[in-house]
Amino acid sequence: MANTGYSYAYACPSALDEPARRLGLQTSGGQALISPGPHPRFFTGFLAHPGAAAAGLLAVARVAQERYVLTGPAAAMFRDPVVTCNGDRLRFESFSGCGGVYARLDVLSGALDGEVHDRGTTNVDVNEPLRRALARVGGGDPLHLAVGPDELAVTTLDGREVEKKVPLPARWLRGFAEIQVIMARCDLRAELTATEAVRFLRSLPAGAAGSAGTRVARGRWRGAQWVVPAGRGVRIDVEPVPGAVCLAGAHRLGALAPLLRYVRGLRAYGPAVTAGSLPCASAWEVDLPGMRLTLGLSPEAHRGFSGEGAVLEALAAGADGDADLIGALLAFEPRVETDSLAERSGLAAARVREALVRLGTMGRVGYDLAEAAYFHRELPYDPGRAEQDNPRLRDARALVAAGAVTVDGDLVTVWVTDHARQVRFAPGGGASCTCDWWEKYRDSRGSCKHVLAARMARDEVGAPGPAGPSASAGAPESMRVPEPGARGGVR
Amino acid sequence: MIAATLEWSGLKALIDAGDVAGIVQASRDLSAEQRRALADPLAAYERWLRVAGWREMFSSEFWSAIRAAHVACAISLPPAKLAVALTRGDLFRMPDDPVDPVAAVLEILRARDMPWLADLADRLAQWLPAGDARRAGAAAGVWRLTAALVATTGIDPPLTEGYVTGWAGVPWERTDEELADEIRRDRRLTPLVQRLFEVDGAAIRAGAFVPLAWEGVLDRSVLIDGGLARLQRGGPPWQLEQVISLLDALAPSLDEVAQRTADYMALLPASHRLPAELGQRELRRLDDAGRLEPGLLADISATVLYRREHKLVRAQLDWLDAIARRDPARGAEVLRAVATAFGQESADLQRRALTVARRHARHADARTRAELAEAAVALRPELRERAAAAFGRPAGAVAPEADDMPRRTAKRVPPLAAEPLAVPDRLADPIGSPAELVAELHGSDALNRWDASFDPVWAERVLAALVAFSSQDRAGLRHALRGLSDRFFGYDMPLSRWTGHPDWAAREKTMFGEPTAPRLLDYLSETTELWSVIGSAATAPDCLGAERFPESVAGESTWQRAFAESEPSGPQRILMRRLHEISIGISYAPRPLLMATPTSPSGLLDPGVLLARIERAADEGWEPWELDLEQALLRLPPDVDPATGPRARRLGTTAAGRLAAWLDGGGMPGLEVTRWDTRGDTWPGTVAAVTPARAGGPVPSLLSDLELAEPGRWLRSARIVPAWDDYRCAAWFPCWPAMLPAHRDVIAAHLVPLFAIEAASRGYRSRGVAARNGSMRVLSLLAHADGPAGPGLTLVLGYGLTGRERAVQEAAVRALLILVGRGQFDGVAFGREFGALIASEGLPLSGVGLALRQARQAGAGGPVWGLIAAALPALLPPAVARPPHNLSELIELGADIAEDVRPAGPVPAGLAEVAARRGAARYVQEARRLVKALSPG
Repeated sequence: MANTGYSYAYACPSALDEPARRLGLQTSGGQALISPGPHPRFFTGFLAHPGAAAAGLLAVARVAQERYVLTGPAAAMFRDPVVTCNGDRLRFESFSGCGGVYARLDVLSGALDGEVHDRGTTNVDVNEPLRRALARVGGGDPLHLAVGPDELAVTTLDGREVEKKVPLPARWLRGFAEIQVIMARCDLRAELTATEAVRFLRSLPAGAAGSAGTRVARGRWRGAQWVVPAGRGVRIDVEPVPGAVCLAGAHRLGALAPLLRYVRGLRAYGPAVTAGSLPCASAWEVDLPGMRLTLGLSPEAHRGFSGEGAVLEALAAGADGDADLIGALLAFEPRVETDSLAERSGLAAARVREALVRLGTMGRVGYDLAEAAYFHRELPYDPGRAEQDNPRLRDARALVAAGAVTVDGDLVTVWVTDHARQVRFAPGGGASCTCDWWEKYRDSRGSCKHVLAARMARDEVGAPGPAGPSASAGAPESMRVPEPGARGGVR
Repeated sequence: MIAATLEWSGLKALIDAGDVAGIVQASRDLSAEQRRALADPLAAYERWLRVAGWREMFSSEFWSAIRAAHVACAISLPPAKLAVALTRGDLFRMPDDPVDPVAAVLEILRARDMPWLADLADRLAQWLPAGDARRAGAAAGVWRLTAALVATTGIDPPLTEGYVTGWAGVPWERTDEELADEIRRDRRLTPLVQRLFEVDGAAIRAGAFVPLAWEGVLDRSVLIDGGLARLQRGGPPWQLEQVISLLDALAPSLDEVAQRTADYMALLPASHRLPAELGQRELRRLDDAGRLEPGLLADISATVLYRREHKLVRAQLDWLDAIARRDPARGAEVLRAVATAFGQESADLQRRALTVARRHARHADARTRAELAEAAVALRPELRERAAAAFGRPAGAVAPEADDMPRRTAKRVPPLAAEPLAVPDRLADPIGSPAELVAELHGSDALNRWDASFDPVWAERVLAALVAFSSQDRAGLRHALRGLSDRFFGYDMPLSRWTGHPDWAAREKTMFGEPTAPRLLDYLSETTELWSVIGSAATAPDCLGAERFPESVAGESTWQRAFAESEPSGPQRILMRRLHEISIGISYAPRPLLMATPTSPSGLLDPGVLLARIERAADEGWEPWELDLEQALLRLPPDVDPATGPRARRLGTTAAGRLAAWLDGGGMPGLEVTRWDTRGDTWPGTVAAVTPARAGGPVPSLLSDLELAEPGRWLRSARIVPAWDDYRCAAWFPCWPAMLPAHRDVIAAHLVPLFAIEAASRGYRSRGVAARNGSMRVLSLLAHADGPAGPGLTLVLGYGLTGRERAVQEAAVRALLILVGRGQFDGVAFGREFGALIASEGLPLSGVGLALRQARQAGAGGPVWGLIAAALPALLPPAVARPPHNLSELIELGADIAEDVRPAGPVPAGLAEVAARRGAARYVQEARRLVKALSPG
């Protein structure tokens, strides 16, 4: 499933009626708790801080339409944002075409005043006239917002249905799901006041966002930078130090530039780093009046989240009965409480957490850094299938099935066509390999297929012991590595 | 005629010959049946050419054949298949093509007379790539064919993104006048113009559209609305410029702007400054004519005053000032808007904002005054005082002195945390097994990432392991390394390809039966020598057990010649010679361990450990390799236990004798680093020279490599940075400080020219090398190493601070912070040298203030103030005729720190005179503020 298609069907285009200040966002597909249908209806009411809200929505839409590096053919087909109603808040999510930037606008209860009709997840239509109208929204009176078709509009449907067909590349889908798992591993590293946040964002290289195309930050240096808390603000370092947040491709924060006047604070999240760490993912959360906008950045501008392999080990372990059980208990909560789930499901808390990771890869939960908790949402797509078909995982399964794995204690040999890879398990549980992937990324991007295959084979064999028997009688003759004397020519 | 009886064989011959004209000729008068008969073989042959023919991709015959095949497909394929075939090849007409392939396809299709030409045009239009107009050029042939089909069939021009992009084209294909004429002739083209604005990347041809708009052919409102929408979406600057020149040329009337006020306002937060400038300009024009709705001013100002561009902010303040002058009744509104600019970082902008605010302060009501007093908290202390005088103090604020006092303590900015910048104080354990060694080689950044650098600790661990296993477990090592040599570095290359020594190459041939003759690299580097070490360890140990190091080995003279021709610089020579010795030694005179392996991450070697190693050698009856021992001596710390020398002497071996003599002679003979001003002789004018400090005593041969008496000659001739491989070269810089860990200034002196070139961005060969990972890391490592921070280090950091690349400046600040954290940074001494360097080299100070601000942020405010205060006298008149570019940033930072900590000490020489000057130059204003902050009371 390299590429599947997806079509959105809206009852009519989303529109902003400027004189009446009514914003009608149309929906398509997805799930709803109470009355599922092709056009779920979540909310009608007023949206406070219209200027900030419009700018935030535009930022989410911009990320969806952006490709921060040029990859593949120039087909300019972009996916509409996903909206989730968690009861007390609305979340608008999008994922860049390059698969390396994630954006989410959380409109919190303080900014919403109206009626919640339903909870669930769906797509919202974003079109060029709407984009232009949103750009014109200034401060002033609250905006009337409807997520889902107006009852009035439904009854007077006049054949203005909108259909959009877009390709859904597997890597885009996997990335969208995987980012939740990666974000769940990030911790708060820096918190800035409004003044310091604006100063920091203003100091980033200019000439950032715009239309699709390659962006080159000023000058020749394109490596990752590290943002380190210092005093009340932050400073930028060229090397990782403990407590730093990786900022790779600073131009990708450009979507925040139009929001500067609304910014009330900034929080930076990232995994723990030490001196010598490789570039890693990061998340940047901006406080807006009544809202939060989060941008997730991949470890390097040219890397999408799909290849980060954060969940391969969990998937390779197989069996997702727990995930199904936990998934059935979720009801679009804004905050998924592990303890209460454990109680209701009868599972141990650790297993619940594992199940949540699993649900994340299926696009069935998202992660809210500010709350440090998962929230329930069901991606309208089916990333779970894409994740199951992860190329590395598929290759690893094929290797095990072909009997190409020989276990010898902590040393596992994996035969790949005409050569062998040696996987070594360290006492701590880590593993290293002799393949190119390991050379390049070490363990910063998930395991390579050889390590995955080795783990599977070792688990099959049983408890890893020094005297563990071979997983297979030996590699098939055709897969044997040739003797050194019979070396082939230059590839 | 063949035409009547065209068989597949005939057509195939024409295709193979690339005879497009012949194909057109032959395709006339074919019956439908004949065409049908040709369809299958034609499709099959086209496919075969594509799939199997790529091997021929370098022959022009192949390309003309495949183009002919694509043309021939028009003879018989149905529209869907034909569209696919036509878009596969490029229908580009080569300069020497007698027939235009597009015309040929058209002619064939015309003869075929099918009803689906419009359908074909539609399919081709769908395929045409959208986006960047320059990329659409690759599909130019398909576009021309589509356009011709559209013209032939008379259908409306398609509105696909690719079609309109190609239609707008580029000026060198069709001039603006020609494009305008085309639209005049065919009004059906006007929808395409509207569509152009919706396609990001399509060219906007102002020169063609503006005259048409004046003539009434094109609707002005379509152009203006389209242009505004395009500007809101953003894009690369060259596209924005096209749209802006269109809008400027259309010169929208006040009515037109007034109708689109919200659209112009939507340009203000744009990512790029150009749309924002346009929006601001037009809105101001509207306002000057009294047609801007009054309520919008606050919104406009709030957006613009948050922007980073000083020009925009200044223009907005001027505008606000003008409004308040014109209409004092709007004073309060203006004042509230101006307050936003108090949050700008730059003192200049804050001052301007405050000036405007104070000018109209009398119009403020109580609420506005309170708001301004609140906003003034963001101002600098001196400005805050002035704001307080005009607007009062924010509610709830305590008395000014009490408010300011705690700010002056160190509590506000936590003291510099040296810990995060520290290197680990102990080394990782030695590598335990050949398999682990291979894993280390595989896991190395530098060997696998083009932009990474070698870690000195990694390099020493790997060398130690290679030497140890070569002697203890040669078979195991060879076995493990074979997996490495199989495939490494992303290439299937035998190791010999990466070494410069013919001996290893020849032996690898006997070992692996390599059929081809080994090829030697004609240029040696540290990397080639590392491969030689690995290669040596991986080959047959046929010379094992030699007691003495061989005088000469096969291929040595070739290596020596290549080494000389490679012209390595001093520290490179040391590294390469040492690696070379290890590679020879591993094969001909293996030793169980290296003497020089450091015991600390900075490269220092514990004298007791060295003595123990020498004792072990004495016990086991072997002598260490010579350069290895020399390197070990160079790594000794300056203060060595006095008992070590006599203990060594008692051992009686040659190595022990050398250690004893070395210690008796007071350790390192000493190289003196001096600032060398070569003004008028060569560039850069200021570098560091390295000369022997005292004569006599045994001088290690390695040290003589480090003398740097003629920096000019060195820069001109030495290949410090070979242009072809600057990444690889810079990758080894981090290993340099560990050669002389107690004398970092010597190593720093060798890096001075590299950063000098970066600072001025001059010099062709080495441009940009300072912005490599290795170059930036070496700055931190120098700061972590030991020894005085003399002229070498000062110059390297001075040049680094003024680097053109922001990352280089940040790396210099990082090094500076490490020095501060270790208590080794003398801000005053550094500042004096820094000022003299900037003045004598005429360097700009762009970004220096910003970079040093980071150091202040990290808690190094005191040292940074010392630096600035000491540097200023050399940078101000009368010391220089003209102050360096961006001096104001430096003085601004100085004034900020001075206002904060009120340092004791005199006002820097020359500053008072500058402050007394008239005028509003930024550096003069900042000087005034600094003088005021320094004056007591």
